[in-house]
Amino acid sequence: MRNVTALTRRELISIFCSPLAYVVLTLFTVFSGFFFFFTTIAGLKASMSGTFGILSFVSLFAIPLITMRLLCDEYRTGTIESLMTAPVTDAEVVASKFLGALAFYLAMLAPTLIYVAILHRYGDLDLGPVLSGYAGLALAGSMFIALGLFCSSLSQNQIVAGSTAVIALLLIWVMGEVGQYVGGDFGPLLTYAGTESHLAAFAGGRIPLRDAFYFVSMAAFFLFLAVRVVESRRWRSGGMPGATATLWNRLTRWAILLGIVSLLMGLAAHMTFSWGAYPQVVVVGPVAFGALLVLGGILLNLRWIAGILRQRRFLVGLNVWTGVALSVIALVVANAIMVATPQTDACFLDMTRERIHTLSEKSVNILKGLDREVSITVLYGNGSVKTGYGDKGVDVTQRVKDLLRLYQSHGVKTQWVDIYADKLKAQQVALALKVPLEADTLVVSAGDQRAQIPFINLFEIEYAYGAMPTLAGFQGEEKITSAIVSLIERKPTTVCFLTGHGELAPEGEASKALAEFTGDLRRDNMKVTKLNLSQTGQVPEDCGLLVIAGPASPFPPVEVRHLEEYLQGGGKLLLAVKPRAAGGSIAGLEGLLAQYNVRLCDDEVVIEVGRDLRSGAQAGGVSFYTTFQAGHAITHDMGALNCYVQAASPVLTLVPEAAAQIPGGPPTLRSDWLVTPLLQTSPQGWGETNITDNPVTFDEKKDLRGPVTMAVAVSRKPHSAIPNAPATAPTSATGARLVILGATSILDDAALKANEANRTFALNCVNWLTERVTHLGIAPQRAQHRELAVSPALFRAIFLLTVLAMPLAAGFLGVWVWWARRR
Amino acid sequence: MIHVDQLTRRYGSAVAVDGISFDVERGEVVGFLGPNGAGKTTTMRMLTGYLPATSGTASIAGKDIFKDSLEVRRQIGYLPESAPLYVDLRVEEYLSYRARIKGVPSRQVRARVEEVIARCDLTESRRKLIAALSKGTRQRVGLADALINDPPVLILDEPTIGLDPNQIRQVRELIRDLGSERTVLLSTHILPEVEMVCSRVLIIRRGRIAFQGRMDEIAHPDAGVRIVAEVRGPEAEVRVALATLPGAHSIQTWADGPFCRVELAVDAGNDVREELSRRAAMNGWPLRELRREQPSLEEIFVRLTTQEES
Repeated sequence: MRNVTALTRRELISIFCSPLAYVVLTLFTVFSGFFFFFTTIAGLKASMSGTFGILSFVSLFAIPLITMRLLCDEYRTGTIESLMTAPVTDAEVVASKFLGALAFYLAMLAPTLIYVAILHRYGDLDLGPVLSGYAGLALAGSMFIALGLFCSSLSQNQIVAGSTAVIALLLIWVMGEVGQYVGGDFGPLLTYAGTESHLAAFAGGRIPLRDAFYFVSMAAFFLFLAVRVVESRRWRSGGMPGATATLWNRLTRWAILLGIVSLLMGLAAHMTFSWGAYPQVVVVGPVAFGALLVLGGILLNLRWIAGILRQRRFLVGLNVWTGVALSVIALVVANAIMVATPQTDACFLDMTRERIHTLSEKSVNILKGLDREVSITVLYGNGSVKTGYGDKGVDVTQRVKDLLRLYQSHGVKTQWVDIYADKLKAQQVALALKVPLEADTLVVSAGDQRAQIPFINLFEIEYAYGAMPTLAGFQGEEKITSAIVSLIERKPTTVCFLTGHGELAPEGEASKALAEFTGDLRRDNMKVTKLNLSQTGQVPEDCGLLVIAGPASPFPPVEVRHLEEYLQGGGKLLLAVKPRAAGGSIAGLEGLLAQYNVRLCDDEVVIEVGRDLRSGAQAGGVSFYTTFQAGHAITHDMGALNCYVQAASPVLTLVPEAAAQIPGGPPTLRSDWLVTPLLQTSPQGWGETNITDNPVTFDEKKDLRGPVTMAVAVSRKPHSAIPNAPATAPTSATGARLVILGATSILDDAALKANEANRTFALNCVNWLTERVTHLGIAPQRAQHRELAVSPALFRAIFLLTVLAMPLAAGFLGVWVWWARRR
Repeated sequence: MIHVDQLTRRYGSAVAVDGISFDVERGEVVGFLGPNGAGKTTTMRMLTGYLPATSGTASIAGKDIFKDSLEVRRQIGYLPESAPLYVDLRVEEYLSYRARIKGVPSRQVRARVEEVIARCDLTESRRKLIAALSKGTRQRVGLADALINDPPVLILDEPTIGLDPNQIRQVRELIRDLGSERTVLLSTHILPEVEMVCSRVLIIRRGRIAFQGRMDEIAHPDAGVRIVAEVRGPEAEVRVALATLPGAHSIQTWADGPFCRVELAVDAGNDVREELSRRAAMNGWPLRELRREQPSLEEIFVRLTTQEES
């Protein structure tokens, strides 16, 4: 250790006082400053991740410039002789050179702390990923230095040593890229061996055990090799013992080598041609000839061979080469064990402020309590997972991979199936999971149950006019964990679509069915059936949810009674209506609704006045976008989203005076039912009675004044709750639940396809009605829009500092050191 | 202190050192001589553990140079041929660095550096970069390095090369001083240096030991002693008169004007000078010069290193 300190001190003086070091430092500062300014500052990003990428790449060239002289200069100037004859071990010599170079490398990175300071001062920089980024650079740098040192030990020529190191580093760097093109079994191996794939996590704020281990093991391996090379000088002696070889001796010795080559050729021929007929002589000939040469050569040179075997250099050499071979095996095996042990994947430090690389405690607890195997299958196409609209969508492969890795580390099996590239496997998976093959979806399955979630449901996508859609938030964890919970906790829910009154069917023609909605229900592990009350006589007991979508003819009282019984027994009802003007009818149901304090004005049509939310143009009328009322579990996190509505009827909370006037309704208003509005127009909207007027105008006497409610949720009031408190969490007390929508258009295929929020809203309604866990309260990962606030003057100042002043300072420092040493 | 047994080193098919064996006792200063390429440097490199031997063994202070290399290196102060140094260090920096890696305790490093700087006359250059030093000064820095940890064994490969006459004198003094308590093996081409400094000499030729012996044994009977005389007298008569001197093996005479110059080869044990002067007086030949000449090391060196292998 004492020796290492002294040796390292010598290395430090040599490195820090060499002009070359300052040339390297200046170039490094030039490159990093240039890239930092023109990507990070010019892009107004308060993040170092881009700069880290550049720094690691520039290190590929900078580090060999430093390491190339370390050992080969000792050989070249002869100082190796005084070094090797001093009482220091070869490992100490190599270690000190490594430490010296590492110290310089870290000193070379030190000026980049100024960049960090700038970003911290003028933007909301998350320092966690900065730390992990530097940790990654230091680890990668260690490996680069060890490799450079090894190359330096091989050659007496600096240029050769340096270029060998650069080439080797570049090869290892691109190996990852090559691996991705190669594919198959070999591709991932190459990708793993490459440097680049191991660096990505660090800049993103993670310090993964596996990647750190990769760098440390590689560094240790190359240092070990360098020690062996330096050591070899102590045992490699030239020459062979015994008398000088005669020409005959030499010829017979070469014959042994020729024989070995010939033997190998024969064996290679045997392996190559083994599949078919081949002339025996192709194999037998070289093998026999080779064996003859080898045997003859050995017999004629017995004394020479015995001499070699007895030689010290042979024994030591055998020892050393065995050590090298074992170290290669150790490197491969250690890394293989690392990768083959799933637990190591979960070993990492999450340095981000928002902990975006960690599963929430809720998810972790749920995954810990799993009593059966859960697996997640990602169905994708054309090599990547995409989401969103537009021609290409947004590539979210990495996000999904990172998230699924977390689930995997908690025992969830994951598999990725490219449904176009690997059709056979895709077919098998689809059969096994009983899901349609749709790209960009993931299937969560446990036992024979599964839920298919389109990726679009996992992301909040921000649309800006005239710009590419961007990912605003990632709700993957919330959605996947919810799906797991629903799978393991419940049997499939049966959803009955009522028929017999002209309702929309679950499947069929677009104008007469809710095919999209039904598809969503099926994907969400639900069974969908039709129900005709005139045939069955009552609502079946296993009906978890009754859907009445757009009835067009009156309900006979006997059927209404069945519905009443169903609801009294804790039934769940999703009722969507069409206004009378659109051919709908709720005749017969008024009384039933009145019992739950709801009045449906199907003789009116809601008119909204306002702007089109996408184009910003003046819009309104009977079809429009309207905001969700965020005060309910269904709409809890949808406050910022808009629902598409066309031809809706007002759905009102019944007022006491009106209750008695409704036929079949209760004589007085019941106080134990809570009606919560889900959709409302702006105050300028109204309920129009005469839709045929042209233009439609608000009529004070007949029309309903806005804001007009178009959808409500009804549930029993929680006993302890404050009367008007919104029900944000599902209550344990079971009871009837109703969602009444003033328009079937909220659920129809056109709306679900056109507006993702409608789809989410529809599913949320179903989840709330069936009392499935809908909201775990896991915050979505928001894309970190950390921006810099930089004024033009400051912009110039930063340019001068990073692109000009810092490299100049590095250069001047070099000149000063040179001058100071000369004195 | 140094024990060498059948040490052999080959470079490819060339044999640099061919089974040499010798011993150096504690307190001896042994001169290691031989023409260029005879294997001096190779032998020294093997002894210091820098080069491995192809076969044979050697031990220093009882430790095998191959098996116990680290311990052996602790015992040796080695000045390699042409004294390779780190040119980007200052003299002081270099010496204290060497002191540390050679195991000088931290507290004594400064004192040791001061001592070797004084001993090797480096006071003026102590703050200079080694790159700026002359050949001779570098040589002295190398010597200072060899002495820095006060080792019991010194192996010096041409220590006075590149020095000016004053410095050579100083270094010789230094080595003579060191020789009193340490074991020194030094190689050189400067024969008078060996005669002045060494107590024993080893002459190596084509990788084999051609001669080894104490400096006072160098007057071997084979080597012979010469008597040189000049008398005023006729050459022929002088030759006849002196050829019959007892113990004289051969006689050579030259006429030099009225004088005659005589060279007699005699046994080392016989001093014939008195008898010679008596015979000259008897013949009435005045004696102008009479001296006894020991064979010089140079002569031995030349004779041993130029004769063909028998």
